[in-house]
Amino acid sequence: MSLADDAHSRARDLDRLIEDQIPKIRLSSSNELLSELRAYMDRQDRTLGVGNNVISQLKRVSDPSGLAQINLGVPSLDRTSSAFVLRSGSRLTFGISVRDEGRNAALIAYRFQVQFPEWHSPNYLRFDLIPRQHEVPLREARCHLHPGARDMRIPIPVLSPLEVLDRIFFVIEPQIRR
Amino acid sequence: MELTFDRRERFRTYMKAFNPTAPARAVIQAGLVLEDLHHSLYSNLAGRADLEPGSQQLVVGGIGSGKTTELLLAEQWLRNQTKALCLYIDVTSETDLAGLNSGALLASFGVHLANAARELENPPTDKTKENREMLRDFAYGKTVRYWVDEDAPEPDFDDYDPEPPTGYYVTNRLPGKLNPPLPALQRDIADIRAPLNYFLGLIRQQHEDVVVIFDGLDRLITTEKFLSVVHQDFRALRTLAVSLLATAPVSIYGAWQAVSERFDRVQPLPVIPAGAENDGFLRSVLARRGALKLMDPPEADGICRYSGGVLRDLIALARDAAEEAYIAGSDRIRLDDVKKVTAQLGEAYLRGLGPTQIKSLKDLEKTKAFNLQDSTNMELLVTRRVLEYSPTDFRVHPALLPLLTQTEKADA
Amino acid sequence: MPEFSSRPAFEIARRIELRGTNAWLVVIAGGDWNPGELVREVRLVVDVPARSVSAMPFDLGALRNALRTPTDDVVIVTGLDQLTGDNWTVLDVNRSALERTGAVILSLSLATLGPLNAWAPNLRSFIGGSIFILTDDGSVMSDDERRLRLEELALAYGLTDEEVIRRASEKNLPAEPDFAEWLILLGRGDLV
Repeated sequence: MSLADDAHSRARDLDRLIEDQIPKIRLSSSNELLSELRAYMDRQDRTLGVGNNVISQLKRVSDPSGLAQINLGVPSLDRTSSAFVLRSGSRLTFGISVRDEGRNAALIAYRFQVQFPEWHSPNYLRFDLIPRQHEVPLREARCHLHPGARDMRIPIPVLSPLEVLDRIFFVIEPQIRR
Repeated sequence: MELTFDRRERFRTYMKAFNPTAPARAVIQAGLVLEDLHHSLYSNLAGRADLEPGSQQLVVGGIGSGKTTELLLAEQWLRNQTKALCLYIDVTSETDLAGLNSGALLASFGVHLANAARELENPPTDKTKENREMLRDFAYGKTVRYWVDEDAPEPDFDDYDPEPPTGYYVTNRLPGKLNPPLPALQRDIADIRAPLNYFLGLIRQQHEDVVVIFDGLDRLITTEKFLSVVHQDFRALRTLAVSLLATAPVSIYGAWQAVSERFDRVQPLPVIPAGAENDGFLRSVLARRGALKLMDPPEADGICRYSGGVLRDLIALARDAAEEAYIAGSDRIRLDDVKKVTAQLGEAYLRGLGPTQIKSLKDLEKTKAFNLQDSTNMELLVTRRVLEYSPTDFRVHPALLPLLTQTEKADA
Repeated sequence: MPEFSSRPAFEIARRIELRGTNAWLVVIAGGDWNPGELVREVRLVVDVPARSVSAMPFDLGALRNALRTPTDDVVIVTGLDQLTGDNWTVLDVNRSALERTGAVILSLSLATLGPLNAWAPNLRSFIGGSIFILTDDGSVMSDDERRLRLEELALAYGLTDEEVIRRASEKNLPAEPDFAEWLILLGRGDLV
């Protein structure tokens, strides 16, 4: 086998490990999850935000099959659409897809995007949990981080939505200083 | 742009100063009270209580007028300026006021008196213990065990009868004065004088006089209930030469002459009108708490005006306006915030008013005449839809007034 | 008749968080209202324990104990619509016995404001104008919002809704979170 073949094989093994983590993350039902996210964002806004209107930014929609989508703002890189603005000037949006199962929910997919101020490089960070395995896990692991370059994706363990937000607010945001 | 954190801290600090339901003692200790708001009335009340042992003064004010604050200031004055022992008693936290009757105030006074005497005798003598127990039984009741004879109504006790008397013991709980509800047991008020005199004797070895402040009696709402509860107790306290300050219900305005004759002083604590000549006072109350850090004079004036001078409403409107501004994302209180919260307050007062009451309010606004003997009018006064600026000056609460005009337009 | 301010549970919780201690307010809720949502929002936003307590069957001592054990959490009092005038008078006269450091939220109907005013003027004074009609929090995406978002996705990917559904049925959609969202917005979460 070539080096590339070995890499793909290892990536597939890693992707299976990542895949196994997903069912272990039990979330509250989408209704409660929205309340938890809203309260979390509101509290972060008190210290790290610039007076975001969290209640109007967070939206939820449910589907007849039991899936639900929770969005914060509109993910776009044009700096004009609705987003949670942090003190550094970074703009945070997210979209989370879950499947409601009684009083809990299962994680299906998410995309958390932090767009940094114009003077910062990289331009953005994106935490992605894709809804199923990619054909080429070496290129795109089930859960990965985009460090601002479109096709560059680094595998990461599956984090719950609040764990992702913790990294954004407590680890990433404090580093964004001119 | 101001950082969220700093903005929030500004508003939080403001909210702490503008809490209309904060305990009065905490507000005084925090230095937020304007002591000369009522022209230092508290010092006049306290001074008289100290100089005239056995004197009895009532403070009459509507709900939210600052009676408790004035009485606590009086207590503070007495502690700092005199050698009197001052006992402040919030009757409402001692017992169920709904079941209050004759003897309960004396019972409460006795318990506080006995507690105050603790530090004077350590260890207490047997006599002290005995008197303390008498007061405790009077206040909280006691369990007694007594024999009930089953023999014929006029048993024939034959000394040589070998048969023992038939009967049984009964254990009964005799209620105390501080357990509701009770029938009036007028005779035992005289019984309690002895232990009260005993402790007064002990206390007066260290303090020149004893002053008791009863707060909460204004909750008795009607003049009749107030007088029936306090009559014997207050009379007993006078004979014990204990000076007394007490709150009384605003309904006393309807029986002012009759009540005034029974007390050395009946002091109104009126609402402070927000007219030009008095604007300074209400604005000072706001300024003392730091209002102008979050609002400008026009907003402060609006709050003063629509509070009607009711202190609790003043503080509440200032708090609510700040809350509206904060929720809306504004950095300061705007006129729109003031309008919104005064409308809410007016709406709160409007709820439950029937056609008769609305007519009475409209008549008052038109004619300025207000018959206190009318039960509808008295209810409007008690529930603060009507405010008393003096014993002869009654007005519709300014937050409510615009809504009455709207009902008039709706009826037309 | 002008109504009181309508506010969602989340905002009521924010107001309590801002007020700090000794807060009293009234929420007007429908007869079948479940206080669970407000309890949850208060716990999450204010970060203190919260619970609901019923005033019925009416017993001042029991209610006082309930409010004082503990005294610093947030309590929502229900069942107040069933109080008689005498019950309100007892509560009012003994208002001091109900005081606590934690917030008290009285939940009642609009009609009960009349008796509150008439029989409990001391309590009403504590509440002031803090009377809010509980309303939905507006978190559910409206049809317009959903449509707008679908348009954004269509523009970003150059696909129509029909194409997305077809390709999802053929299991031919890219494994992107956006497509999971797209299908949910179209009500076709079954294809995720």
